[in-house]
Amino acid sequence: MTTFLQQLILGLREGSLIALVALGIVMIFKTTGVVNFAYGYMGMFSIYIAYTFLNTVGAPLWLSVTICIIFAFTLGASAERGLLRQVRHLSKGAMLILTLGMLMIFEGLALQIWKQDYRSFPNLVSGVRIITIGTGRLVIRNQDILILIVAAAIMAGLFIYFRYTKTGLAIRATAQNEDAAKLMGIKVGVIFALSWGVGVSLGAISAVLAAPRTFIHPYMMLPLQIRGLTGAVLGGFDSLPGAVVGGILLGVIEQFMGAYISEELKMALSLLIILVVLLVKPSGLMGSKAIERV
Amino acid sequence: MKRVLVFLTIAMVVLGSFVFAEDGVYEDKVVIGSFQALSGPVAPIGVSMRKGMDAYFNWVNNTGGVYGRNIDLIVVDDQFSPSKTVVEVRRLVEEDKVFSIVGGLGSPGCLAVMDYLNDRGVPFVYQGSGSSILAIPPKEYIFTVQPHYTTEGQIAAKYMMETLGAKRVAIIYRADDAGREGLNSMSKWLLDNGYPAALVAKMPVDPNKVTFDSEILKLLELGVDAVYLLMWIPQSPNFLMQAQEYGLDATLVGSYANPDITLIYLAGQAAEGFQSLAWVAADPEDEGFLEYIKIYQETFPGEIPNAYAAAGFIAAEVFTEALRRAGENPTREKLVDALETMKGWSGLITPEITYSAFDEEDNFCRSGVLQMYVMEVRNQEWVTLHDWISLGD
Repeated sequence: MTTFLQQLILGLREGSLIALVALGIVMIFKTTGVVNFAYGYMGMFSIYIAYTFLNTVGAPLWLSVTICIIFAFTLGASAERGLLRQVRHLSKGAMLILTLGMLMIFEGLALQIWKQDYRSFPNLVSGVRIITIGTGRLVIRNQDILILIVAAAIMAGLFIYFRYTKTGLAIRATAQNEDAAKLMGIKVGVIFALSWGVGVSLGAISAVLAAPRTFIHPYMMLPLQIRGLTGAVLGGFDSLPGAVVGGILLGVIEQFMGAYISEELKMALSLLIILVVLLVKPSGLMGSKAIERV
Repeated sequence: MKRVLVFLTIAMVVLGSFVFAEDGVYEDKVVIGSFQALSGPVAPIGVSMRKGMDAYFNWVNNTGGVYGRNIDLIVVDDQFSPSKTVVEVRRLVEEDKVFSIVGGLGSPGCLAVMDYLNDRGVPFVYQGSGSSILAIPPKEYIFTVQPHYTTEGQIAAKYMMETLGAKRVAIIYRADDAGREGLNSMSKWLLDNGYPAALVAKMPVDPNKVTFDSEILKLLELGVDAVYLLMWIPQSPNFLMQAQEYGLDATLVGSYANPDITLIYLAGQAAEGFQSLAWVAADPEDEGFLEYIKIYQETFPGEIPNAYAAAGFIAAEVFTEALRRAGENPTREKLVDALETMKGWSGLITPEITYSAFDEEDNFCRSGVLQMYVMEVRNQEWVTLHDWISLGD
């Protein structure tokens, strides 16, 4: 029983990270209709800012992380305003290509500035907790508890934001019908920039939480981005709750596959399950049926 | 008559240059090729290995070359992708007409071009790979230098059982051919040497895995004495940090790619007490080692070479020595013959290597280093813990 619980906690931890990435990708997709292929790379670039403040400037960890998130928000909003908005009238394909271009730019810039080397980044909290249940015991890292709390808080915060604030309502309205939103007086340009800002910030937060394990390097977010995209597809690419559910589910499935069936076949078996789910429900677990093609 | 003689002379010179010249060998230079991951996730290793080769060849060229010829190294970027390796190596051989391939990086790429190079008679000296398939069965033109995992797995088992006196051991290995080779050789050694029940856990991990919670918790549950960690940077420092977080106190013995300052830099205090097998002669007190640092810093001032740069340096050292032995007019066949004359040869940091005449039945005729020693992290430095261990001891 404790082994099961232990694996479940580890799966939820992984799932939370995947869900954060999926959430950011889906948020951008839902409002602006484009899959941001540079998503992970923007998160990676942002954490290099935190690393620089922490190690070169000597700023405290909390301040470095805060600067990193603010930077990510600005980066996301500026990319939308300065680049994507310029080609928005052309096609969604043009925007997609632009995100691929951004991916290469951020990769190249990171390589030029910080080189290929791996760099360490500290846990935000250290230590482990041991909980005894009968004859068994659960060992939980404080950092994992923090990841779960941060992910849950962000998800709950976004839920409240979308549901109960005017801007949240404006984002939802824009996502649903851009022209109608414009007619209602919503400044859709601001909404687009805001979505990109928040979305990329989520990428930066994921990078901060994952970095103690992945180390910081130009390709650190690639596996997480792939898993985030997979989680988003599983949950339904146009559904924010779907991104959360898909991400968490993917993390838990992977963990159980690795622990109980085969570590070597973990990824293949997880993808097989997702394939079966998508065959039965092509729009994903919580996605709407008509998904616009990009 | 005079015209005929002039014509014949010119024809002989022109034809002669086609008939006798070896690919890649020119009057003033010898052109060789290498494939490295210069971009992509494995680039930190590929770039470092290239720097090691560049540093040594620059030094050779600046000190007169080999019989007056400079060594001209062309490095292609295969991004650690074997499909790219095949294309790039064919281009090196067929278009750039390189004399030899030196120091290719990565088991997938090395294995992908092994048969092609051997069939075309292009000497392939030093592979940044621990796969025994390169050396066993031997191939005439493939010369391995670093030990393979069949050797390492057995030495690791021997060290853990006989020197550390462990009773319960485990192996954590990358779920790929190299990892499985290490697992099989370790299991076989334990079985052959009377420890059939000592290996209590065999845990494969994905080569890209960054979280080892499940593995460490399992090791804690099993109460193992020593763990053979067949993985390398960045996975190994990650494992060490996580093992420290969970309080795993078993002796951790790493694979030979680990003794590098990068591991300590990344793992910090979690690296203390970590032991690792090693094969590069890296004694900071040794004159050869100091010379190596000096040569490296002539090209990269102020930079301390890492373990991968050392690998590149050794690849260059071995090739250059063979080229020197091949004489003033080197051919590929002469290079092979020259390599076969190396008996216990050691370079500035290359430990003793021995090759012998090609014999399909002799599994050691193309295996370079067959012994290893043990290093440990003490006060944030790698120090030698145990002298050379070979399976014959």
